[in-house]
Amino acid sequence: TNDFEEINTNPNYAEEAAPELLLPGVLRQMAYNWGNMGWEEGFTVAQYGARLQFTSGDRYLWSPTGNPYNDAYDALRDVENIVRVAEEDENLQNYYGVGLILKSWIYSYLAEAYGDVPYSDATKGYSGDILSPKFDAQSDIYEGILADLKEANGLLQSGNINGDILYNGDVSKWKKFANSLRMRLLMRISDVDNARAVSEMNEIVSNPSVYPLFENNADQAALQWNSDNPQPKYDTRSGSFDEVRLSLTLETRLKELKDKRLVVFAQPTSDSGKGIYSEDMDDYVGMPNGLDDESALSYSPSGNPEESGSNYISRLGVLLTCRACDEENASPTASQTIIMSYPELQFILAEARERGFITTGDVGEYYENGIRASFEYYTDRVIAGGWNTIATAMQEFDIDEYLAQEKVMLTGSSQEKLQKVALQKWIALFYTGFEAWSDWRRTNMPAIVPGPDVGNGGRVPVRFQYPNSVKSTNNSNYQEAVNRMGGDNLSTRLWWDVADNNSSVM
Amino acid sequence: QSVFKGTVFDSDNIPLPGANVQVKGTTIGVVTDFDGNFSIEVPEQSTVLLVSYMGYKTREVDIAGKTEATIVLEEDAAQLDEVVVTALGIEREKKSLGYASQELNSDDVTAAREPNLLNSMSGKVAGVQITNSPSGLGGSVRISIRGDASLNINNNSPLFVIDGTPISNQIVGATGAGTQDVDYGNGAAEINPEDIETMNVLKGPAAAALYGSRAANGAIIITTKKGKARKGIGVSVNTGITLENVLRLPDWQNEYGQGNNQQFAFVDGSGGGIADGVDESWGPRLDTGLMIPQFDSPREDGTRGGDLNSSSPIIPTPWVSHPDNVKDFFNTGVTRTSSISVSKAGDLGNIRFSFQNMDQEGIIPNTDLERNSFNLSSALNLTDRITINTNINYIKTDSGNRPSLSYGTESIMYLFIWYGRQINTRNLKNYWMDGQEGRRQFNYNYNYHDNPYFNLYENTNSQDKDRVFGNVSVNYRITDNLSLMLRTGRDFYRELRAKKRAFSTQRFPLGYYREDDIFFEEVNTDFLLSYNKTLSDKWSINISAGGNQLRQKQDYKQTVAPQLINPGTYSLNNSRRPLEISQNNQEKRINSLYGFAQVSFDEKVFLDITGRNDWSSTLPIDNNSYFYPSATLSAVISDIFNLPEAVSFAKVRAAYAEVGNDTNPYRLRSYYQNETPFGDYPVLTESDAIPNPELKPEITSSYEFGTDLRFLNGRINLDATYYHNTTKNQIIPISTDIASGYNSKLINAGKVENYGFEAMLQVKPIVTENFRWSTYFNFATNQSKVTDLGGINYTLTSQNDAFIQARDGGSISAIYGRGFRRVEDTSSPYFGQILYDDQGLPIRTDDLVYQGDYAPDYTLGIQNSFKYKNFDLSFLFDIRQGGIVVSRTKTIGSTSGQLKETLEGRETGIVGEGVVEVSPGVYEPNTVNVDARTYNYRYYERDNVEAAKYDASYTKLREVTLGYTLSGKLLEKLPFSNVRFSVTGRNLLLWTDNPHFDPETVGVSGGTLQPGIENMSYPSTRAFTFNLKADF
Repeated sequence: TNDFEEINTNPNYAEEAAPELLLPGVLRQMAYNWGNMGWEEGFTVAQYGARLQFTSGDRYLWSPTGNPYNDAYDALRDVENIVRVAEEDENLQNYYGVGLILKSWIYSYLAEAYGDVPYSDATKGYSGDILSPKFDAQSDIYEGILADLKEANGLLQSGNINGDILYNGDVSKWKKFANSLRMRLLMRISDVDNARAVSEMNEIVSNPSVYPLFENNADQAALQWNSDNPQPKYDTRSGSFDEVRLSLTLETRLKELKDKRLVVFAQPTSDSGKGIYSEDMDDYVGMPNGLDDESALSYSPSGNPEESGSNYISRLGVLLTCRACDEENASPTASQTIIMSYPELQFILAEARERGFITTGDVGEYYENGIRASFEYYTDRVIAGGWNTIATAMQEFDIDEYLAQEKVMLTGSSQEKLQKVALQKWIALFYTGFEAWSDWRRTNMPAIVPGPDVGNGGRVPVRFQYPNSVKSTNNSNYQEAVNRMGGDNLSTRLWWDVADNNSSVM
Repeated sequence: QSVFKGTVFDSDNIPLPGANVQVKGTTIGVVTDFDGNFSIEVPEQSTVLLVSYMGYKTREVDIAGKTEATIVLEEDAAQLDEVVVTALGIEREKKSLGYASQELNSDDVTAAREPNLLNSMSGKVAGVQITNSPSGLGGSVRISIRGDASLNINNNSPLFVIDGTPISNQIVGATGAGTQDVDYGNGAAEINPEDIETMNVLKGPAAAALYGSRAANGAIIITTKKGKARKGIGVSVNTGITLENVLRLPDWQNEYGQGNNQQFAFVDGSGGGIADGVDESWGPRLDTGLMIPQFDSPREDGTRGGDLNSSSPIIPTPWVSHPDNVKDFFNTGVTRTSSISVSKAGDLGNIRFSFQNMDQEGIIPNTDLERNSFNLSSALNLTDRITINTNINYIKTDSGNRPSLSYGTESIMYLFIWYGRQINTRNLKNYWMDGQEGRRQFNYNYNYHDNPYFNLYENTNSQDKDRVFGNVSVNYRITDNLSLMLRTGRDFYRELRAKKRAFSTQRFPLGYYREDDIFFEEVNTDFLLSYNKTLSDKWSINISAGGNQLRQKQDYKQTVAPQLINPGTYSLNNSRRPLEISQNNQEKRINSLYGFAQVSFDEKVFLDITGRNDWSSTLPIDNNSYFYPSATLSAVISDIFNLPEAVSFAKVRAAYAEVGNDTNPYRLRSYYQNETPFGDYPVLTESDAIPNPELKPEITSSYEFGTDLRFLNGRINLDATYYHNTTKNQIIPISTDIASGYNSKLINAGKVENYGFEAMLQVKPIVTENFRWSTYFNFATNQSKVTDLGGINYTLTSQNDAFIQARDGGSISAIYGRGFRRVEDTSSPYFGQILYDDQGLPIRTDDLVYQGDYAPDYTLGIQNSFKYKNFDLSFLFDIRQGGIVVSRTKTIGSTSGQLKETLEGRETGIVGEGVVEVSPGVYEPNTVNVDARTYNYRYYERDNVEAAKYDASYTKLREVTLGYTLSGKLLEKLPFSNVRFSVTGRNLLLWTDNPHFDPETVGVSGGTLQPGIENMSYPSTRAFTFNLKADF
């Protein structure tokens, strides 16, 4: 039995892993999850897309959901391993900083999905023997996240890191991401802890050399997929892709603004026979959200029952399309998964400036930057996809004329300006996780009007229910969190969701 | 040397075929023919013959001066000489055993002509539960004895031992890398039934204490046929053909076709027409004269509607039903079996060689299995005292295609549960689009599905397995009282599997190719030193000491070409993307020492004591040694006391045993596993299971009491046992909140008790010279109870939101899942009714609720055998009472509008039966009318286990065999010593409550067979076999 120890040593896998080997897996897993979330609830609840079939998600008939809970903590295990190793090692401080940023992003994602979640006790199942971590109050989680982001900004030094599939090792961009993300989260809590939001926002924007922010699209946090790891929708069956269609809400809003981005976000109807692009905006047709299956499958945009069904409703854009849907045009790489975009930051700054949270910069400039950058971004992406007709249309689009429109120009009362900022932000947040839903919960802008056949008492959900699994694996801590939050329902409001204009009862 | 002739009869004057006749003191022997006749060459100095037959007293016949004799053997009610092979290959008199065992002989295991040996045990051994995988073709069979004891659901199989050496009964799963499960068969299925002389089922751990942990669930001890001295040249041939067809398919509706809202028109099969992307049958009414464009309607240019490369208009065709569109898809399965054996015995020893070829074509098109088995066994008497035995088996298993299982496009049952009921399946046979051969499949739907023929003919799962097992042993009788046995046995196989996926497959639009390379090796080397001594007239003892070393090695390598460059070229070279390779190699060792003693008093009372110590490499150094004892007692009370004459034999027995168990390799430390690289970046992730460096061995302890009673000179025999097993300190991964960073932690917890009763009753109502009738009953019941889980709900396995879950105080085979919310107020007149919401839809529970148990309340096998002159007839009923099965076919087939019950309310809507809570505690009957599809979608929500469950009880006419054995004058003119023709029917009749599938099925996930769960199972089959056997 002397050699038993050796026999029982696993020859297949290592017992240690350097941070650079863990980093790509964490980023991939979470970007993939965030992308899929953008496709499902992200599209339907914020009404970019509407469900043509299997409509229960669009009708707020949400079951307790295991996502993002399961994927997020699964990734956080390795984030914890990165942080644990890097924290102690002087040569790995950049990894430590990146680890803290990832941790902050993932926990903010979790807290925005569910509310209170395990934080201070979490991911210590092996190292600390904590199998049933307690759930922390959201205020405590944000406290930790904001502190970590600030610390990360300080930790990150010039130099490279390896295994960085987001920024290819460019530490300065991570630094910008840390501060931009901090701006997003400060805005998130601005209604509930305004003093902190105001003071820290000012700390950041007044000190760009210490706290650099995204300066253009190239800085933004968007994961570039490759052909072996294609964008999340690329490998789905065509039926799964086709179940989500252009929402009437997105169609209407973009058409009202004569917004050319519609040709990127959606495809002409099959009935039009125009392929992936049409000059005629009438060939882009959406359908209402929140129809039941029968009505959705037989929905007729014209009202003529002879012309009903999927043939008469636009698919979502060729940018996202799956290979099985359109082998000729689908691209595994043109669509990136946007974690946080440069336009989003500009709209945050615009709102902060308009509401007087910050005093630096010009609200109109932030606003215009955001819009122009969003158009630029989507033009770049359709070029990357090689869809020349769409690219030409985007390039030829007159943005100055667009900006000069009454409905776009940042004029009117402060409230009107904020609404315009919110609308443009909403457009720019297309397929960015469920960020638009989070913003709506905070601001109630732009409005979400539930569809005719929705459940949940006609109310737009304001959170996910915890996954069923925690009720069996961590029940007492779960109960404690539910008591603290006042329930585990789709309508249980989150800590920062306090604005009194946010009454979504129909 | 002279020739002596004779005939052997029993006391009823019935000739005994197959009786052994041996010249005493020599190895010269023959076997009697069908009429009991024999003729034997007797050396001059010999004057005594030994005549023996199982179940009869052996006689010594003095033949001095005679050339002929009629020999009558007396039936031995006590079967005192009945010898069974027990643990470590030790032969024991059955009456001395203190525990339950049940033996099947070669006729029992070959009568039914089951390709999978395990199936032939069904209904014949009390307490053995056999469940089939749903794959239809040489699929795996789940076997458990006396219920499941281990919380590791894969760890409940008994140990299979052939001629003293354990062999693998493993099921190596084949899921992952984007493909679905395929069942490649269980290890024990590869044993050639023709080679089996006896199969002894040792039911409890007491029986198997000497084999250690792996026999904690019992052991099946197989003894192969050996060369025998016999009449003729010693050649035996057997040939048979089996025809199989579908026993039960879902009960489909045939009144409405594909579509939605009673509308359908095909344009492109992916939503371009009217509901033509929809894969459900809620479409227009069939057979009403409607003309509708369909996938098989002609286009004006002569191509088909589904040939999407044409844009020529589709000409509508009649919208008519095809009620047998699924049934007609299946073929008649054909299995051809041929075997031959030659054997010889003499002074030097004996030798036997056998070969069997089995060639099977499944009922599923383009599925097949071929098995060639070779067996060579020999014994060489080196000296009077030294014998060398060898037994080698080589088995080659080949399959061009085994069907994919479980829920998803790779399984054809999935394709059929989402299918247009109007589809004329024949029109899918030509499965390439016109002019797109090899690149684009032709189908009725391009949104979700693959053409079923394309699926089976292009997307194949092949298997090529070479397996060798066998052993060599030396027996050295050092003195008359002391002997030594040395043995080494090995079981190893190499298996290559390939999965091909063609271009345009839904899951793999650019094709896919995968190779799995599996290597398994287990070596057992053991010694046994035995000493026996008769101490006095009455006392004798037998003491043995032995040791065993087990070395086990498993290598698994999987290589995937995730996309192909050229269609139709299945080579790893043809990969469009970097190959994805993964490897998992494992090694394990167990060293053991054991000793045992048998004491017998006056051949009436027998006491056995054993002790064994194991050292396992898989446990922490400090905990890796564990000792376990057993003791059994047997007393022949009919010899001790004076019992009434009607009682010919009575024995009581008692046993207590413990067995320790280890775990799998590499569970003590944490590891970082590789994932697919991201471009140039390698990716690692820490395992999500928390290891445990302080594991302890599991311990199973059991006791049993039994009795063996025989009445009226053996006309009525009863063997009954009560047993109680307890397995504690189970090594199980408990689920943890993933927020801990980990999904599970390995701990020692949980105590599972199994207790039950089993009985075998044999009655011989009629025994005359020309007609004999005997009846066997095998009855078993088992209950289990789980405790010491510390409040956790431990999930053994789950599928389709049905959880097989152990909870404190519950059973180990309990199924939990969501169900309907019901009125809980017992004082309400509506108590127990289903709650509906204000939209007229039933409400489902959030929590997992107990739904039932997959284990039956009892099982009963009833076999009747008749023998009239040269004819014999037997039939076996297999009865299972109680238990549930959760069906995904039911859930999906109801929502997709396929099953007959979905006809209800199609045009009128449905008002669900139940109540609405109008204010807290106040209920009113539901009155809301909901359209049928919406209603079915909610009623049969995928995670509503209650709506998907059926009573799993059934009665099956499992086997009917009619045989004719040639005899008399006719035979004498032929060069045969024995000729038998038989016709066998299998699974001829099924009585069960559910109309859609055979409840005797399990789900498959990875290498786990999941009892109580039906998941797109293939239909079970009814089979007829015609068989001819002849000895030369």
